[in-house]
Amino acid sequence: MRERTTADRVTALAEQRLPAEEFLRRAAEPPAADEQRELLQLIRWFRQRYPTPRARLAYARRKQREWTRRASYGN
Amino acid sequence: MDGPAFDEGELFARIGGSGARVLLIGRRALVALGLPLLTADYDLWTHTDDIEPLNAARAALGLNPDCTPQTARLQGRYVLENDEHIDVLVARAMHTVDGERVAFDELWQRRRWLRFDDQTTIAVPAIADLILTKRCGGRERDLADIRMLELLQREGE
Repeated sequence: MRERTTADRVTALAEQRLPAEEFLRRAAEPPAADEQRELLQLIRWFRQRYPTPRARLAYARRKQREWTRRASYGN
Repeated sequence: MDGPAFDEGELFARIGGSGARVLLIGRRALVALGLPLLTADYDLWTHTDDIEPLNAARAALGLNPDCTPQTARLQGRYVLENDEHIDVLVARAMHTVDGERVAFDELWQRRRWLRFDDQTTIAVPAIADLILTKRCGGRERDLADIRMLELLQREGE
């Protein structure tokens, strides 16, 4: 049987279904100002660097492959 | 997953040419709109009457359905796969964790088109509707996605 990789573990965590009350409470919480600023910077950078849906999707595919490969090797 | 051999443009072109009402949802839709996220799979939501034309379109790409259209309608979803994995939602509606109904027909009416290339466009839900689909998921990653979608909405997208 294949060993669980880091990527598997991170994915499992992200896929975890939360109790409805917790989900709703956290969804209603605004992000902290710092987090919001950083996320906005990241979004603006990404949209400027990859201005078309095609370029954005190609980037995401490439990065996903790289990340999965690295996470597997790092295990 | 054998990414490089897969022609994403051809997938969207064939979907577009099939006549099937198909929305790109999930993280690939978020990426197409401009959110920097990682994702391995595709999520599509198609009208329950349009499984057959969608399946006809996927044949040339070597994507195989994991069940018959009849079974897909009973289950509300099915999978198209080879080296790629495409989750296809075919339910008429789903519900958010707090019970709000999210219907395909309404999302389809409010859809927006993204230009993939000169010949190909992709139908995606409006941002507010994508947030609703994320509220149906109820997972840790959906919270992160909602946060980014709300920022994108505030950016005037």
